[in-house]
Formats: sequence, C-alpha cells, structure tokens
Amino acid sequence: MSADGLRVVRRVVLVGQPNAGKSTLFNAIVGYRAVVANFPGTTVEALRGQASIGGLRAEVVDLPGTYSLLGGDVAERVTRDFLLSGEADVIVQVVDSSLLGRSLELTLEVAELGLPIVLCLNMMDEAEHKGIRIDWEKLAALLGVPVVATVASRGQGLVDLLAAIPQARPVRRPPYTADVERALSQIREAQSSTGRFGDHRAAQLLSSGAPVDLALKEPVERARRELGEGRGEDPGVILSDERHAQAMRLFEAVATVGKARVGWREKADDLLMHPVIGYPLLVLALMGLFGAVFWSGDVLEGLLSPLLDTVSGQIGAALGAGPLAAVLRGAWDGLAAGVAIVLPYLIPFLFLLALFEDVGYMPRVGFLLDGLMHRIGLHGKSVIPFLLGYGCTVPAILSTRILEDERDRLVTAALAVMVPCAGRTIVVMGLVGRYVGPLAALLLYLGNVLVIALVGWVLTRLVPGEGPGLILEIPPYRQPRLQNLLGKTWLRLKGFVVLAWPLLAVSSALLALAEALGWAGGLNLGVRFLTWPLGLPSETGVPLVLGILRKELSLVMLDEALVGGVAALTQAQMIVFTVFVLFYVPCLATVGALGRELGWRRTGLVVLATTGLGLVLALLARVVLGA
Amino acid sequence: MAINGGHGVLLRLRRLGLRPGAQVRAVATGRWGGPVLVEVDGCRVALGRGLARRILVQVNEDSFRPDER
Ligand SMILES: Nc1nc2c(ncn2[C@@H]2O[C@H](COP(=O)(O)OP(=O)(O)O)[C@@H](O)[C@H]2O)c(=O)[nH]1
Ligand SMILES: [Mg+2]
Repeated sequence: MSADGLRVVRRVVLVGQPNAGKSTLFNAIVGYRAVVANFPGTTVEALRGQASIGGLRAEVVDLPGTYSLLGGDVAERVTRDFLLSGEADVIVQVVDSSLLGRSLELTLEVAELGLPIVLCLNMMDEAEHKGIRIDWEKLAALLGVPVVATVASRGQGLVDLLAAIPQARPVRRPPYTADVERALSQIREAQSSTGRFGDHRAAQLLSSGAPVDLALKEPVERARRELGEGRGEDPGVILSDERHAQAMRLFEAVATVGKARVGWREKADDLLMHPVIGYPLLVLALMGLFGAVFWSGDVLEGLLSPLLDTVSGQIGAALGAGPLAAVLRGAWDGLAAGVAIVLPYLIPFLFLLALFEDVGYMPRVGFLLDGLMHRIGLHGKSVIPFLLGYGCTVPAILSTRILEDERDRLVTAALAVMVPCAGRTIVVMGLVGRYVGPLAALLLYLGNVLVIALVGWVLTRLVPGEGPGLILEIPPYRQPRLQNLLGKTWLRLKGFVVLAWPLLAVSSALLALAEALGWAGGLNLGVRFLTWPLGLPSETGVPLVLGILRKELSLVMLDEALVGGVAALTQAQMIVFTVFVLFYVPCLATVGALGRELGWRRTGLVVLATTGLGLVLALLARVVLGA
Repeated sequence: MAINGGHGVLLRLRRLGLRPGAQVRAVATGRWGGPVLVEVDGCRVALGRGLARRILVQVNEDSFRPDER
C-alpha cells in the first residue's frame, strides 16, 4: 500500500451470486467479451480483461456466480479455487441490491479470506422497484469497506466503482457467538502454519470437516463435535445460520423496505408459468422463434443470392481457365456461400436466442419442463444446456457445470451434443426448409427432440443414481437492452466469421484443386461405405467428412461438389443427408470441449454412439421415404 | 417451515432463503409431477417435487406461518 492509503492493484476479481450483473459490469469495464443473460449460470469459467485502475493497467477477472465458497457445483468450485490461488489483489463483490440481505451472507463468508474488498451495490433500479432503500454510507461505515451503488446495465456508477477499487479494505467482520469463535480458534491453533486464508480455512474445516492434513483430523473433529453437541445442530448449518443472523442485522441497520411496485413483470408469470396455459404459450414461443428465423432467413437469402451470383460470374470471367484459376474461384465460392447460405439464417437466429435469454424465459422453460425431464431421468436445470445447444454446442457443454450432480452432468452433456446447433440449423433450414418445405424442417426438429428423449431415457438407466432434484432460481423478467442483444449476437457471430470463413475458403479451394486434378472421385470413394447405404450420390462424401470441422461446411461444400448445386438431390436424399448431419460426429470444437469436461474415453464413446445413431436414423429415413 | 435433507442440499437451500422459520408462498406448480415455484424473501425459486416434499410448512389463515421443528 502506498502512503496515501491507496493500493496498487494488479488484479481485480468480480465475485457475487449468479445473475447479480457481474458480466454486465465486466463488459462495461473491459469491452464486450462475456456473455450476459438473464439466468443463473451464464458464466462458468474465469474470463480476463484489461482496464486502467488508479492510473495503472490492471487485469479484471469475471468469475462464475456463487452462493457460497463451499463449491456446490463445478462453476462454484472454479470461483473458490480462483480466490484461493491468491491471484486476486482486490475483490469486487457484485451484489443484486434487491437481494441485499442474502448477499451480505456471502460478503461475510468472503470476508474471511482477509482480502481487500469493494462492495458494488448493483441493480439499484431493481431495489428501488421493490421499494428497498439502502443507506450505503452507513453500510460502508459498518463494514469498513468502500460501497458503491451502480446500475451496470445502464453504465451508471462505473466511474465511482473504478475510483473506489484502490481504496479497498478487508471487511471488519463482526464476531460469531462465543461457542463458534471457540471452535474456530481451536482449529486455528491446530493448524501448524497459519498461512494465507487461515480464517477461511478454519471456517471451512469447521463447516464440512474432512481436512487434507491428517494431523488436523483429530482437533477438527473435536471442535465440530463440541460445537454440534452444544447446539444439537450440524456445524455447517450453525455457521450458515450465524452468518445469516449477522447479515440480517446489517440489512436491518442500513435498509428500509417500503412498498413494492407491481407491473407486467410480476404478472407475466401468472400466464407464462401457468400449469395449463404455460405449455401452449411455450410451444407458440418456440414456433415463433423458428418461424421468424426461417422467414427472415428466406428473405435475406433471396436478397443476397443474386447479388453474389453476379459477382461470382464476374470473378470467374476475369480469372479465366486453368488449375490456379479453379482454386481461386473455389476459395471465392466458399466465402460467397458463407455469406449467402449461412448469415441469413445465423444472424436472425442468434439475435432471437439472445432476446429469449435476456428477457429471462429460459429458466421458466426449465420450470415448465422439469416434470417431463424427470421422465427421462433428468431435471429442469438440464433444459438450460439443451436450449443453449440450439446456439452452439460448446457453451452448452460448458454450461452443464451449473448441474450439482456429476451423473446429471454427464448425461446432459452427452445429450446436448445431439441438439441441432446453429451450424446444423443452417443445414436444416438451407436444405430441407428451403427445398422441401418448412413443415418438413419442423418435423425434423420434433423428431430430434423425440430421439434425444429416448436416448436420455436409455442413458439414465445405464448410468443410475438420481441427483438431488431441481433447485433453480427464477429471476425476474428484465427489459432486454438492444446494446446487449447486438453485442451478444456479434460475440457469437464472431466465432463463425473468424473461424469458419477461412475454413470455408480453404476447404472450397482444396476441393476445387482436387477436382481439377481428378482426385475428388478417389476421396469420395473412400467414404462410399457411408454414402452408398444411405442412397446418397458419391459426391456427398467429402462434404460429410468436412462437416466434422464445422457442421455448416457440409452444406456449403455440398453445394460446390454437386453439379447443379444442392438442388440436384432428390427431396428424399436431402432429408436423409440432413438426418445424418443432425446426429453424426459432433464438430471438432465440441469434441475438444467434451474431452475437457468429461474425459477422452467418454468423449470417444459419445462420438462413436452419435455416429452410429446418425447412420441408423438416416437409414431409417431412407427406408421410410423409399429413396 | 422445516427441512429434512442432506447436508449440501440443506446449505444450498439456506442460501436461497429457505431456512427453518422462513415465510414461503407457493406460487405455481408444474405439470406431470413438475416442480413447485415458491416465493421467499421476494424472490422465486423452483424446487423439484422430491425436494419440496421434504420441506414441511404450516399453513396459516392470513399468511404462511413459520413452523420450527
Ligand atoms: N435492471 C438491471 N438489470 C441489470 C443490471 N445489471 C445487469 N442486469 C441484467 O441482469 C442480468 C444478469 O446479468 P449478468 O451480467 O449476466 O449477471 P452475472 O450472472 O452476475 O454475470 C442480465 O439480464 C443483465 O442485463 C442492473 O444494474 N439493473
Ligand atoms: Mg456472468
């Protein structure tokens, strides 16, 4: 610390309960980088960015939301482990001010780390809506730390927050009741070297026992037993109750609760979560989503295609003949297809998905479908990874970290792989939707849901052990902000533009080269064992293999590989092709994410099983359609 | 209300405000054995039926009254 009492801050971490606005704040400080959405569990890994704090460059870290430092699920363990790594100079605890009392429990728990803290009272607008008024100066005086009021979604209070960070102080913690303090000091004394985070470690040991250091086993057990017997309660529960009581005392000292306003947001659930009306509304919402994507994609594509065709014609004429020209033309065609086939469906889809997320409908869907999910051995929280899977499978797999139960996580991740991601949606919409009709596309989606449910039913019987069941916070509805919708759409689109476009251009150029040299036939022959039983022309071979890189590649490449484009396929062939694409080997990025989250052996199993399933279902489609 | 259940689940519920003596209001129930939506401290939590069944509440005429066990 320097002489003026200001701290040199190199790394600031944002900590707080899920959905308190940490990522919104993070984005406002370092630029749009983290996904923000109105449900718990959007952030599941530490994200880093740079900002200028106290005139120096500092790193800002956005952490997964946590209710405590006990590490109830993987996302919470990420946060706890990060804090204990000692990397943080200052903690900014982001608080949903409309839930101040409950958030102060976390403050008191985090305070035991002994690190300097700034309390950021975010969502002051929501607190006001609920009629809660907070005297934050008094709170600052009671805790001995800087307290700043913000409305992150509107950028209010950010300057004050940044200015307060160098003045962070450790919280002046109120003492526990005498018997708890006695138990804690028994454990602290037994710890050979107090080391860092001694208070936190002692409280953790008292709360849950099981020390790693065997020398501590005896004293910890004695302290737990004495405290537990004295009160007839579990020590973990006692500590939680103590912090709760302290937090409530603080809350009552600094807040007054007046009359809450009641608007559409409070009333909407009466309809949307209604046990009868809620379900048709859910179906309507999903149909509206896909209908809007299909319609706007169709319109956009109709506008773009002729334009790109003209340019392609001109480029083709300018390049002339020869293998080099063929390669260059191929590269251009790949890029053009990326624009013409992919963007028209992708942009509206990502935008609408963002809208759903930001309003706060996702956890409601989890609530509505919990009963059905139990039929396949899971519960409503798994709905969130599934819904995210319609955007991209990678974040869907990562979001399984919000599931408390290991077995639920495994099964949900394995099933999420089969949810048609945006890349697969491009194939469904651009091939079946466009050439066979929207109804056929809708049927494919419904069939897909059915297959996932069936596989889930089987899987949960193979991997027994039911988790503790659903505990899902349902946040209030929120007015979506255009800036966040656009930022999120762009963030997700960027992955496509920077990753997929080069891939499209290169693959397309290579395909053109292979054709010019007469190799394409040989490559296709190599995959004939797949395409022949499915009744697909041999030219579909290379596109299907390329689909392993990215799903939309298979459609774009198909268009290039077939003389006359995709329209050369019969309708039945289109459906068989699409059914196979819907299920077979997840893309490389997904395999990478699965490997990290589940381990490579299980990932191998998932890859084999989905490919087998894709083959069987595509064969079935062929037989049914008589192709 | 009072709660029976495992250690981890108990602590988790407590953090959401579901602790013995708390006032809860049942808002809605899902179909097909779906969850119960409860309001506690002005925020809403969906609880699976299995869990909700282990939470004991006492109904009172004018409001839901805490019941310490
Ligand atoms: N009304 C209001 N909404 C906010 C505020 N800050 C964030 N939000 C919204 O709260 C939701 C959760 O925000 P997010 O940053 O994802 O929270 P995180 O889970 O803590 O990272 C999003 O819908 C945000 O737009 C705020 O100060 N006021
Ligand atoms: Mg977040």
